[in-house]
Amino acid sequence: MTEIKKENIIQSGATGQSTQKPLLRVEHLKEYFKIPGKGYLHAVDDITMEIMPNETLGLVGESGCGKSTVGNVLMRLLKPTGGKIFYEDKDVTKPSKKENLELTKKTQMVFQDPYSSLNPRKPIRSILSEPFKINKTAEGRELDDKVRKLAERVGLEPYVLDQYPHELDGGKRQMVGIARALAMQPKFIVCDEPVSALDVSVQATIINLLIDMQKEMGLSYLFISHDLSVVRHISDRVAVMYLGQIVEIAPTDTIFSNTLHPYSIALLSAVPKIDFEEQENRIVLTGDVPSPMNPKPGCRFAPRCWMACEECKNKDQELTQVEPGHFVACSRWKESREMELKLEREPANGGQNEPIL
Amino acid sequence: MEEILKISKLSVEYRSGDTVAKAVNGLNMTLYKGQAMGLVGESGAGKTTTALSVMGLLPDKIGYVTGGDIEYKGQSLLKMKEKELNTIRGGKISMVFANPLSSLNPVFTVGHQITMVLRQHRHMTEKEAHAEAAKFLKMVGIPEYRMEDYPHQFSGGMRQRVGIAAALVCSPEILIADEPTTALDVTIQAQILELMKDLQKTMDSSLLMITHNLGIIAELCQTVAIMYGGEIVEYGSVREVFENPMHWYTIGLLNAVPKLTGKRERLASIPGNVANAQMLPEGCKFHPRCGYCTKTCRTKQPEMICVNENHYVQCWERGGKAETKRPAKGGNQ
Repeated sequence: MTEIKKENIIQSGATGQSTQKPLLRVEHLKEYFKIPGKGYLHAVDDITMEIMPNETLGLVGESGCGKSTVGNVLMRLLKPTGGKIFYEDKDVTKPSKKENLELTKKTQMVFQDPYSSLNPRKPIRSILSEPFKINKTAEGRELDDKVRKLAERVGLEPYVLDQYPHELDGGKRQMVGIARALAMQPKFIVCDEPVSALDVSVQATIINLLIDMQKEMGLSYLFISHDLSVVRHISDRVAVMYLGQIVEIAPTDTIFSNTLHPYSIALLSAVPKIDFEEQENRIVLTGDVPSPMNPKPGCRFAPRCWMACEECKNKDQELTQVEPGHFVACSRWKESREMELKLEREPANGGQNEPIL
Repeated sequence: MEEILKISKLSVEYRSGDTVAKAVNGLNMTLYKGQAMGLVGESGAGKTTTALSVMGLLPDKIGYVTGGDIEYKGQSLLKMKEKELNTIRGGKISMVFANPLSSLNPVFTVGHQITMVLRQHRHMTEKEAHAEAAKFLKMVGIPEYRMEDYPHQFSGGMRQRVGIAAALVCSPEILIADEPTTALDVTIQAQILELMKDLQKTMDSSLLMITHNLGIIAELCQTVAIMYGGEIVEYGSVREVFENPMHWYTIGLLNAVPKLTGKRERLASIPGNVANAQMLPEGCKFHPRCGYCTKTCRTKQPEMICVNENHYVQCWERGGKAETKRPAKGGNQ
């Protein structure tokens, strides 16, 4: 995979803070899981990316493509099999215990399911006090004060502090999850599908809250989601993942208006649209995502791709820059746009199953 | 058009100890032959309860139909005996459930579960049923040899397709789909939606699509009913309701959804929480969350008003002056 040059990323930084150094940098990150008797599951396979201060990077893809694994590795919940992670230019791939504690203050996570990520036996006050206690930054009345302010900041009423998680609805619980992540004034938060378990009106509240907190505290987000319209709404840049690899990465407006990788095109076309003018003929990918066990060489998307040729099946695709800040891992990206327009409703060929329609 | 399912003034309660939750409150709805209708609302609006009442699958000794009627081709489903109901349920009216892992039986093969439907309703021999089941599984993209597999051996998308095949195998006149794609990825969702669109066309069956995804409704359905607090608050053709929403709840829902095109603006969330079925407010059920609530809204239950022949709304504030205030269509302008 080509080295992504820093100036390219900086040009692409939709935040416009071009002189800043990246907050977090990941180089050739790999995460393999050993499955006894079967070999290795390549959950994340050679990912290189950067996240700038105050930037939101959206990470999209189907389930099983390795989105959450990337988040978990960045949070040091998993040890990477290969590659390096830099936080503010410091190598944090293998942190010492002390470094780990420091990093935990700076990097935090908001989980998908607000029902299972809060301890059901503890009142909200106790859940929100925990970060202060662990890091020994406050106690007694000061602690009470800080917890109350924290709750207020995310829009929780004071009476919520004395309730237990089961007494709250999904939206309130996710607010608690966000408050807990914000307690130590972090700089980077991994948001792993933070709104997918919520109703649309509650979803809007949580998205607005995340955006407000970013503005207020200068946060960076890695926003993992399979909902493309949510990602478009919140992200400055978007990375599309397929079977453990990034296949396209670009500033949000670019990726939605000038989609180049066939997989991204299919993904975008699969979203049901509310506006009648936008409804178009849909590219329906056949089959399911192939297994990430011991992947063969060649483009991983080739078996489901309607443009795949012999070369695609044998040669690894490299992430290359096609316009400033826009990287695509497809050697036939020039044709993909034209072919998409011509495709109409002919079903995509290939896949593991028979075409369904 | 022929009326195929008519729900009139349906009320459903869930009782547990001393608490009573009024899940559905006087719901009126008519489904015509060959029509695809969407039922939209947040969780707790009573969408699934409505579907379960039609199927006669309300949880025993907890869920009670307290009023109204459900008619299938003029026959009351509620007054029917269990034995009679069994001849219709699964055969003439069938349902696809939200979670395919819990709606399939884990100890029987997929093939067995589909052939059982055919043997029960069409009285086929084992051999005939097997051939018919294989045909339907092939239609949803699952090869015949996988009939001997158990549900856990399938991926989420395939399991849902099995659920759909099982629901369609007797060519039902009414298919009720309760959030059939929420557990699935967008690409698999697209496969399922295309499949349902095609099947509905070829079999001329009626579809009741329950979802909170407004995009799915826009692509699949001709009419839509917006549900809130166990009532339908707005009803009409999809185009009419989505392009010219009248009820403030519908407008709120449409504005809360991030869009795939256009300018990215701050999302408008609906203040407050979904109406609590245990303590429903007086008057219009939406009034505590509505920014345009008047005195009448707080005290008197609004009635369905006709905006035009394709559009009905249940709102005091909108009554009589339907054309004066066109709400801004959020996000897109």
